[in-house]
Amino acid sequence: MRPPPSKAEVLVVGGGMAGLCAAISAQKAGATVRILEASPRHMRGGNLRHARNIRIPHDGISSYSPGIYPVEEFARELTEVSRGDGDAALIDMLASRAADLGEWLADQGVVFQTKHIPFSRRTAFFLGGGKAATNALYARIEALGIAVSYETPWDIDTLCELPSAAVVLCCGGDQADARQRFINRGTPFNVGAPMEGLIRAGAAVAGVSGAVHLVAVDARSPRHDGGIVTRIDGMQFGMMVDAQGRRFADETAIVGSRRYSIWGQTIAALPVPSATLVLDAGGMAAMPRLAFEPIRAANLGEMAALIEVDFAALSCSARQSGRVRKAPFFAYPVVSGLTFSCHGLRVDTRARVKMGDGSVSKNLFAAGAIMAPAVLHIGYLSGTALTISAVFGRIAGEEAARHALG
Amino acid sequence: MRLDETLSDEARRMLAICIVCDYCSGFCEMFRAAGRRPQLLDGDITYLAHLCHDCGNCLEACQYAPPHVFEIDPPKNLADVRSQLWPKIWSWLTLLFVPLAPLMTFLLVPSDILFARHLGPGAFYVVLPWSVLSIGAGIALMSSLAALGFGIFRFWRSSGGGNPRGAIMTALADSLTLRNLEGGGIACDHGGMRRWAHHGLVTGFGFCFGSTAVATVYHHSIGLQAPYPMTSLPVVLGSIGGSLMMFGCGGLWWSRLRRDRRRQAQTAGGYMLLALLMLVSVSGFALLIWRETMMMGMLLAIHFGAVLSLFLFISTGKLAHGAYRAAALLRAAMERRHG
Repeated sequence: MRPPPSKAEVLVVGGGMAGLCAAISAQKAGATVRILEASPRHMRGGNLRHARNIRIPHDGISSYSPGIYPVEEFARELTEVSRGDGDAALIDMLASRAADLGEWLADQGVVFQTKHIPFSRRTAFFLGGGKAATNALYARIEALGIAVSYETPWDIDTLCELPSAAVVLCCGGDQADARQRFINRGTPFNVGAPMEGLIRAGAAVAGVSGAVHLVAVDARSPRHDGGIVTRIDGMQFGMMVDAQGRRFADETAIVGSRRYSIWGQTIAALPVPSATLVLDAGGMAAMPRLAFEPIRAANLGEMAALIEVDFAALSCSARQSGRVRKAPFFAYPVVSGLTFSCHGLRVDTRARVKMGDGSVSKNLFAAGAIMAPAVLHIGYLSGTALTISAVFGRIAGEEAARHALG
Repeated sequence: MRLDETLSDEARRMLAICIVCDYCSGFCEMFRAAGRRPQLLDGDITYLAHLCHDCGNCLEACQYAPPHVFEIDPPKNLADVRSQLWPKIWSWLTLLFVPLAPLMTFLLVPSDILFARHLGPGAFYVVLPWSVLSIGAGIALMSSLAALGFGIFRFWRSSGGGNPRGAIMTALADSLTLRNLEGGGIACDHGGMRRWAHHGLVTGFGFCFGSTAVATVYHHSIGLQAPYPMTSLPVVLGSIGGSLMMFGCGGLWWSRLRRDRRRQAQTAGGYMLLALLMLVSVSGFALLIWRETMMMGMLLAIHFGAVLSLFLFISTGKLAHGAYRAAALLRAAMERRHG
């Protein structure tokens, strides 16, 4: 591993949404800044690269989202999804500081999409998605003269020889840890090493080790980095069978925006955590377009052989569901895919890392997925991970610069 | 036209991912049209390919762009589908007229006529008879337009048929303004330069067409024969047109070169067309400047060969893209109208 370059007052570890916002804020506050990004240039941006929209409250008319979405409503939702286990002070800070986020991001060059998108009062869409936003923020970083070192992961063992006056950890959770048994939809660089090192060194823990947010994805997805298109949808048009060919849930009862994650958890809880979505000709016609082509079979016997389940069990399931009757038959292999992990560090409202003994670090800050469980615990609220990253990234950058400049 | 199976399968694989992702819906009509046609039949793929203006915004913004394992590269993939319509071999064969016309002239026209100074009305036709020029150009233009018309007819049918009345004005505006090169709010890869250069080229082409039309009227109605004086309408229109075309070709060549270097792409068809258009403009100016010298005969033959090639390029080369793009924009405007 290359040694971290040392000529900056604020060192930002990780070049995703949190790191980029932290770097911009710290530099604007007068500090010299360097970003260490673990990925090569084409994969920079962490999970921002895979994002589509960001949750932003707005008390009045906003140019990015229709209607109004008051700060109080956002705070209430955060408290609800974290089931009271989220840090109330962080929730308040997040909700109130998120209000000017749209304007701030637009000032940094991020472009929002206002046409040809679903109605969304709560979120603003990046034109072209998260990689376009990533490119815009990196262009801003470059224009500000902030140095970026690519392919430079950072190890916690070098913490004792701190190269800068202040360090901001924005290197994500541990969703890409090799011990995770699920397909990782996000960046392969969130391996969680700095976080774990800090926890070993006595940092306070947020969330629950091993807790993850799952959705149903195609089993043929890449091990990492498959993003949004790997999701499987349309279960209600066919039947879901387990590794034995037996149904394990009422497909038509799981609907609404939470259907992806309910299926993700249900499949993960199976004795063999994989399943197959089987459809007949009629069901297939009703299916939304998916990224991968379905497996095709002329009859159920052939299908049973192709998806390696017992024929008797499969035909029994087909009769029972009542939706799988007319040849030809189609199938999608389904497993659980990981969106993010719910294990991280605790911080105070100035984004300073909290220690297990109740003390607070003076020169170590954290923002983004690495501290998101301190806000959400193990809850999920769509588009909020980016809001946490941007808001606490900005706070961490300002505070780190203030510390570094004395 | 039947799509090459490997190409259409690859386009289908890619567009399926684009439809499911849908992050690029704000960039251009291609992605929105793809969402309206999730079946991705061959006719759909050709239609979507012609909707792409090749601005490159989607590639820049793609989380799945190479080297990602999904290898999503819509500009390249769709350009490959389009270029099936103007195979490189046809373009090269068409370009043969460029050397062939001066060569035949050199061989067939006695050199004391070819390399003499000819002045006054009808000077051009002493070297190359009016009948040769008009019949040659007429056959090339008419056969090319007929072939293009047939191709457009098949394109229209395979992409769904129907009567486009009511969508025509929208499509015309989309074609003339190149609205889809605006990138939806993010400035695209040299989008500004490409747009202005393209506008210049098309306008210049229009002026040259106008010059020819006026000259035809002069020739047949009032018996005025070329060459025309420097201040006459055909010469003025042709000079403005030629200048605009040279500016347009230069700009498009420059932006294409930079883009190809960045994307490591090979787009021979585009360069061939630009080179041909440049040759038509330059040879036209050369003929104007040296028309009273002994060089006139050969310059006329060179200009004539380039124009013949250009006419044939309407169906065999990349010049056909204009008609197909307009048809695709018409189809898209129709779909937007009817939902």
